[in-house]
Amino acid sequence: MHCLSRSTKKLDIVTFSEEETYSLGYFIGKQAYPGLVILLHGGLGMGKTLITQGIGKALGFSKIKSPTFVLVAEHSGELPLIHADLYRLDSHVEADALDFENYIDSGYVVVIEWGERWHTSPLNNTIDITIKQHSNNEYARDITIKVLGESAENLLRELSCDIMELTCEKEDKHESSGNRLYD
Amino acid sequence: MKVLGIDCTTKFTNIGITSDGGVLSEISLELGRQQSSRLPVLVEEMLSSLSIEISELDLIAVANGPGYYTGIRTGIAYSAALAQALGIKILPISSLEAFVHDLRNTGLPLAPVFKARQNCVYCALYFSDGSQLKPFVYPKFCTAEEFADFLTHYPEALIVGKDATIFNEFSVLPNNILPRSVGRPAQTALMGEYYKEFSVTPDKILGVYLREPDIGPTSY
Repeated sequence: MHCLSRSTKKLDIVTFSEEETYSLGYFIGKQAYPGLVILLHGGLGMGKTLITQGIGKALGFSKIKSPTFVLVAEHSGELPLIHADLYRLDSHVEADALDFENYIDSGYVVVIEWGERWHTSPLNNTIDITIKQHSNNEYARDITIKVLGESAENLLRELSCDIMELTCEKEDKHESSGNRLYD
Repeated sequence: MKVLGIDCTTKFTNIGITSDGGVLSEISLELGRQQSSRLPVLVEEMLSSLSIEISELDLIAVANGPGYYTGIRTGIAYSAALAQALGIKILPISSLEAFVHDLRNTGLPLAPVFKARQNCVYCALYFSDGSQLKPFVYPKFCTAEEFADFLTHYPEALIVGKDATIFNEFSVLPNNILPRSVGRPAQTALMGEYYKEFSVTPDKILGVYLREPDIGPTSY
């Protein structure tokens, strides 16, 4: 995992394997709090579900599958999780009818794949994650994380620290200070 | 006349039973998303604690929105099915009016506010003659800013709702804010008696979502 740039509202990273993409989800899940909304954007096979599985793992849910066919999957636990996939929706009107506000107010962590199809997502407590393929590497991903609202900014700060710590540790182990892009 | 009142449009599930204008029993529980599974049981428990047979009910009053999408549907689906089975009528009631109805004796204009998505609210303005509420602004969906601007013309209006306190637009107004998060639970049933001539057959009831499905796309 390599951090390209960071600010209070945005973090750009590259992950080099499915495992790393999954761990990114895990780190986000570790920082999740009730009412947090995570919107995932990216084409088919980019790793949206993988990130969600990482988030779920951190919250204690190990059986997270792509909910394309059920639209919304509820996972109850100490910090409950809603995993939605809007791929099959025809319009944003239908997204509105899934009543995400209710889940948010009830203290769920709400993860939404194809989040751009929910046009009226909240203006705070929201993390927006865009995943793209990194150059020609099949397993590497460019991931941009943007946050809305003060609590989400705090989360991003913690998340950046976690990622920095991890990448530094790795670099120590490899005894290399070179560019991770060419690992 | 025995009326069962149900309001699931907010985080709270409000149930009340009234008889000839008097409250027999009322309950308000913060059930969140368990509403649909607990509602029938709660109604049964309330009826049996009052030793009232379900067949003695004359009318069901139900809050039909605005509010949570799922709550609106839960309340309406249960009430309509029950009314159909009992062969009685059902009365749709605005959740915003039910929220402030117990304050009608204050004589103040009442402005209930529920938060909606993003920077928007569900709101209304009712005038009171001391005994009855008259809608001046019917329940609507708009930005907090828009409603706050409108309320500058009515500084005497009492803004009702804890949700109003999360918007700066309302806190800067001279209006008093009553920051309650739930109305009196039996109000829906009481309103059932006041407005019984507006009751309809169960198949006629509709949810008032005040969002895209019934108002068309918006720019919000």
